This record gives sequence, structure tokens and C-alpha cells, in this order.
Amino acid sequence: MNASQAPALEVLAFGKTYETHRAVHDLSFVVQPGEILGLVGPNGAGKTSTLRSIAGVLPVAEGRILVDGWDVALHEQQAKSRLAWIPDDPQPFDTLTVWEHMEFSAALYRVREWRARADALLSDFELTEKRDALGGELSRGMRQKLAFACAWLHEPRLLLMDEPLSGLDPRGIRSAKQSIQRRAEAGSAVVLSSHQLDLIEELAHRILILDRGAKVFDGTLEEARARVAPGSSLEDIFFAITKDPKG
Amino acid sequence: MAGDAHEGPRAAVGLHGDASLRLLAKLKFKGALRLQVRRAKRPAGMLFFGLGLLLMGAWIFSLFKGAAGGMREAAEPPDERTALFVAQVAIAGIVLLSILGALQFRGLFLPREEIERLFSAPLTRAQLVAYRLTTAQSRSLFGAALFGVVCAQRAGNGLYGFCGAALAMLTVPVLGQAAAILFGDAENRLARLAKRLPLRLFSIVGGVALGLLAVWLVFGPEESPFAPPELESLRDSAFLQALLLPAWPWARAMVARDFATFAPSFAFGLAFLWLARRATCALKVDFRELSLETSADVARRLNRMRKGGVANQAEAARAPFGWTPPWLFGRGPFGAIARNELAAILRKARGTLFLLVVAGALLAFFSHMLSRKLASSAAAQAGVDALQEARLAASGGVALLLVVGTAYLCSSLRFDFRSRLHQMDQLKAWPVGGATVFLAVIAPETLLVWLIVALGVLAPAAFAGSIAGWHVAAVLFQPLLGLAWVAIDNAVFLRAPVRYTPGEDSAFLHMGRALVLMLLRLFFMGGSLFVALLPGAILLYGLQAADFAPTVAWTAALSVAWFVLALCCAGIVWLGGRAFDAFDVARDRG
Repeated sequence: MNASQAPALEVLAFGKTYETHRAVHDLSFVVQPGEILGLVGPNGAGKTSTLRSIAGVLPVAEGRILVDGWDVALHEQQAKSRLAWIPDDPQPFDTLTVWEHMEFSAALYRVREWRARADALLSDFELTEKRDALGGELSRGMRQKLAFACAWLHEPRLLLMDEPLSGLDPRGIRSAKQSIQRRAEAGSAVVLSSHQLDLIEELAHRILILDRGAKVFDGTLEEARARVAPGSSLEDIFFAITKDPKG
Repeated sequence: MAGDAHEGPRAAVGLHGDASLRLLAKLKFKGALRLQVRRAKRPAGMLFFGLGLLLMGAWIFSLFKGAAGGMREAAEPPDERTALFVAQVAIAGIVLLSILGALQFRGLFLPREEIERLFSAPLTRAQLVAYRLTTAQSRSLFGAALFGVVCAQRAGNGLYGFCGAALAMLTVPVLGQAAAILFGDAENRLARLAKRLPLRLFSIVGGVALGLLAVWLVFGPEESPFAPPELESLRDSAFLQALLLPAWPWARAMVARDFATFAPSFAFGLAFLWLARRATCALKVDFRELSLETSADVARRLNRMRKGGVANQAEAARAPFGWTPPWLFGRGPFGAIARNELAAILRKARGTLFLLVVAGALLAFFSHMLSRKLASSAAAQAGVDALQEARLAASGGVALLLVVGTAYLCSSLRFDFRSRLHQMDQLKAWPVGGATVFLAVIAPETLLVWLIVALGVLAPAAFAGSIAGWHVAAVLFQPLLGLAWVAIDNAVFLRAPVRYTPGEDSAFLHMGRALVLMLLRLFFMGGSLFVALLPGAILLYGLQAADFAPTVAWTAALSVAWFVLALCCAGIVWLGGRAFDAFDVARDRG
């Protein structure tokens, strides 16, 4: 199916098992174009496994995942060409310059007329001065910014981000937040996984809470407040909804 | 609308993969060169780079010189059947080792900076495999050329020998990759059963078994029940001929003397390589999960490798032998630091420690055998009697064990500052003097090496019922020699804390620097030994001139040498402490 009207991301009864450990089970949710979904949950809840499976890094053995209408398992390339994945600790190539990373990303996603766009992205993420710096010379924050710039280059319909703001300085955090919002406004769907609940609260249109591999909440912040207590913060909601492993 | 910038579906996989992956390979190659040049621009970098280049150049020159000589001598043709058999064995051995290695790299290995990026990119697995094969084959080019040159020396025709050997070497990575993917597929299918199979252990045991077989065939004792078979009888064995048949075309190309023999074999090899590449790329196996595991595993191993020797690469076990490490060096700060190191050895080395003891025993055996051979020829030349010959052999064996055993064990264990470089912030904050920390960190390793070497020296002598003076002297001198070496090694390391792992770039620069640092260590070690042994030698000369009994003269001389060496060790430890104090944590390149 090649449906431009299809949701940007559709996850249907997805499950993931590592040997005997069931990391995720029966997970279903939908993300529409332009929507930012905040994915939260305690450690080991299955957030990263879910994101990596959507990104095609891990195979989908159970359930279905559709990116812009393309099944990740059946039409892997079509699905992948429409998404961008930023892991929690992006690893640049030690021997490639920042600009060469952009060049490679452009070739990888077959982006036409990429140079002006790459220049603009480097400027947006304050990397212009680092254009000729090698990947191995970048600080944690710079690596993160470079990952953003590379991911933005092919204008993905779906952005998957795992702890995207870790390592960024306040200025970097602000520009990253603005950039994520701009991408959503331009029509990209964003799935944002983070333990920084204030970030999710600020950016996300909708929240998906996972606990021990299962969905325990999927809705807007207002719906969550209505369920827990009016005026409560996402932190209050998180603690109210997720179980304490110690009981 | 997002997503309009990219083009349509990608073309099917070509022989060398996707265009973007070719660009990546090109950029990485360019980047590695640029980094090399950037480093070589500094004066020290330039010196080290030049030295490394010189070393490599000298080695390659010696190979080419040998090859040229081999080609000239080829006018006298060697036995063709034997040459073919040896070539078949060599190829089969390399392929077997490669397949055993594939047990450790199941799936498709991609470095950590590539794996998440490429797996989430719109690339087919066939394109990824093609890219990986091209990378692996490019890396093999240098090795293939060297192997070709070595084979050209022994081949009937140097050019054919070179081409056949190089082609075989370029085929090996493809077979290894296919095996890794197929093993991965088998693991996926067998699921839990495969998880329980210790494949890495199989790989190591297989490699060791092959190595031992080769050692036995080459160095096995003649005229004994364990004598290895003659090459001719192996060559004529129908079983071996059948077993080695798959290697026949490449071997035939290597040993061919005329074009008519060479051309069809070489053409077959080329066609096989092309087909094997296509078939490996076309394997319908989802290797993603295994590849992620393999890449994480390799990253962990490389990280551990950077911390020191082989023993340091193991994971720590919680309960070594069911007991806690003893406080061998007291309960003060010194004892606590030393116990920490001892715990690392006992909890990490485990099997390696056992293997080191076995290796030590083998070393003792081989040094005994070798010294017997050497002493026998020396005695025959000098015309000495059998008793003197036996003494010569025993003392030679002990000396060999002392030097080689100490060097081997120290380089294998490396539970020293190499394994603590990432914790130097903590070590520097300890409320203890630099020399104390320095000695406490290296003391357990030195002690352990002493115990193993002492066992290697005394056990065979005790078994033979002939513990002599030189055995005791060796056991008394070893801890000082070991301490001096480990202390010098660590002091130099603290002054130049750089580590290199295989696969890193700037190999020439590292080679040159390693040479300089090794020469520096040897210079200090030689200087220490000279200072320690000189007074002893003078005393020995004086006592012998004054007609003292040899036992008295030797005992007095060795005692003086021991004390002076102990003083030297104290001085080296003090210097090591200074190096520790001067260590700048901001410089750590770990």
C-alpha cells in the first residue's frame, strides 16, 4: 500500500521477545502526520525495543508496523526511506568530517539538491563552524546535533528519537525543541522517547506510557489528568499509572 | 509535505553494493588517510610515522628480496606433488581458521557507528552484505599481496604463485562471511539449543587444536612414539587427498609452472569468487539481531583489549573458586590496593590463568627440549662429556624459561595501569603516595608471574630429582626481574599512555611509537641488569682469582647481584611513582 493519507505510523499488536524475556506485548498505537507522541515508561518498559523495531533495526516477529502505509517487514526499504532514527547515543564516523556525514546521509536517502539544505541545517544546529571537524573530535552534544542534522536532511515523514536531548547545552536544547516542533508543523510525525518528563509535557501532543512491555496509557495530557487528578503534572501521572516494581 | 526530497526505489544490488555505501567506503578511506596525515604533521607523529614506515618497508623488502631469490631458484623445480599438497594444506588451513572465526562473528559484523544507521536506512540486506564483503576484501588486499609474495618464493613460477595465493586469500573473507551468516541462521532456527552451545569455545578450541597440530607436525620429536608422519606419507594418503580436494584449483594455480596449467585453475577461482559473492549476498537470512549482538560483543571485546592483555579481556565472575581474595599484602592502604588488583586477576583471569599455567608447563617442556638440542650440538662441537652436556642443557632450559616465561606471562596478564587508565581519576585521589600506589598495582601480577615461573623451573627439576643451585638462583632472581620489567613497562606507559587495538587507523604511527617505547623499555631493563650484574661479575672474577671455591664465589657474586638488582627495582618503583604523580588525567586517551 502506498497511501499518502495513511497514518504516519501504525503499530498493530506488536510484540518483542528476547529468548525467554517478553520485552513488549500486544502493543498497538497510531501516530498521525504532524503529531508528536511522547513515549514514556520506566527502565525496561520496552521503549527502545519498540523504537528500534519501528526503525527496522530489529526484525518484527510479532504484529505489524506500518510507516506511512508501508509494512516495515514486507516493504522494508520503502518504509525506511520515510523515517529517521536517532538512537540515545549517536555514533558518528570517527574519520568523516561533519560535512561528509551530510554528504553520506544525502546519498543514503537519495536526497536531491541537498547542499543548500545541509548548510541550513548545520546553521540551525550551530554546526557551521564544525563543518570540517572529524566525527571523533565532536563532544557528546555536538554528536547529538550532527545526528539531528543528518536525520532532518531527507525530511522524513516519521522521526524516531530516543532521549534526544541528553548531552545538549541549554542553547542546544532550545534549538532542538524548536526544530522538532518545526518538523512536526511541516507534517512529520515524531515519536519521542525520554525520561525527561518536562520535555514530553512541553512537546508531545499525545502520550503513550509503557510499563513492563505493555501499554498502560495512550491519550492526551488532558485525558491523563482527567484519569488521575485535575492539574496534575506528567510526573504525577507517570507515578500514578506505572507500577512500582517493589510493590 | 515531508519526504518529497528523496528519490524513488533503489536499484537491485550490484557486485559492489549500493552507491551510498560505496561513497561511505570512499569517505572512510579518505578520512583515514587525512587523519594519518594530520597526525604525521606533528614532529613526534612524523618521527613515529617514519619509523613505522621504515619497519614495514624493511619487512616487505625482505619478503620481496626472498621472493625474487625464490623466483631465480625456481629453475631447480621442487617436487610438484609435494608443492601441490602443501599449497592445498595451507589453503584449507586458512579457510578452516576463517570459518572457525565465523563462529565468533555470527551474522553480519558492522562497527557500532554503522549498525544502527545502516539497519534503519533504506538498504537491502544484500546491499549491506555486498558492502561488508567489499570492505573485508579491501582490507585483505594487503595481506593477500604479502601472502602472494611469500608463496611466490616457493612456487615453480613466481607470478603464478603470487596470483593463485592472492586469489585464494581474497576468496577467504567471502567464505568466512557466508559461514557467519549461515551459522547465524542456524542459531536463529535452533534458538535455545544454539544459545547453549559454547560456539566461541568451539572456535577457540578448534584454533588451538589446529595450532598444536601444526606445531606437532613441524617440531614433533623425531625417533619417538610421538614422531610426526613424513610429509610424503601424508601427501600420498587417499583420505587427505579427498579431504583437501576443494582446495585443489587454487593450489594448482599457485604451483603451476606453465600458463596452460595456471589459466584454467585461476579462471575457475575467479568464477568461484564471483559466484560466492553473489550467493553470499543473496542468502535469505535476517541477521539483524545477531549482528547487533555481535557488534556489541566486538565493541566490548575491543574495549577490554584496550585495557591490557588476553586475560583482561574476560568478563569478571562474581565468586572465584567460592572464596574472597586474600589480603596478601596486609590490611593497610597498600594491601587494599594490591588486593583490588588480586581480585581483578582472580575474578577475570579464571580460565586464562589455567591456560597460562598449561602454557607455562608447555614452555618449560619445550625450553627443556630445545636446550637439550642446543646443548647437544654445543657439546659435540666442544667435545665435552655427557654430564657437562646435561648440566648445560638444564641451565640453558632454566635461563630460557626465566626470560621467555617472564616476558610471556607479563605481556599476557597485564593487570596493571593499562587496565586502570579509565580509573586514574580515582587512583590519583587516593590518600597514598605515588610510589605506593604504583607498587601496589603491579605487585599482584609480579607475584603471580613468579609463582608460575617458579613452578615451571622447580617442578621438572623436582620430578627428575635434580634441584640444583641454578634452580634456586632462578627462583630467587625471577621476582626481581619480573618486578623490574613490569615496573619499567608501567612507568613508560604512564609517561606515554597510548593504546592501540587492531583495526584502528594510523597503524604506521603506532608501529613507530611502539618501537620507540619498546626500545626505551629494553634500554632501561638492560641498564638495570648491567648495573646489577657488574658488581657481582667483578666480585666473581676477584674471588675466582683468589682461588675461592666455585660454590662460594658464585654464591657471593649472585648475592651481591641480587641486592643491587633489588636496589635497582626500588629505584624503578620510585620512578614509576613519579610517573604516576606526573600523570595528567586530562591526557587520557582511553
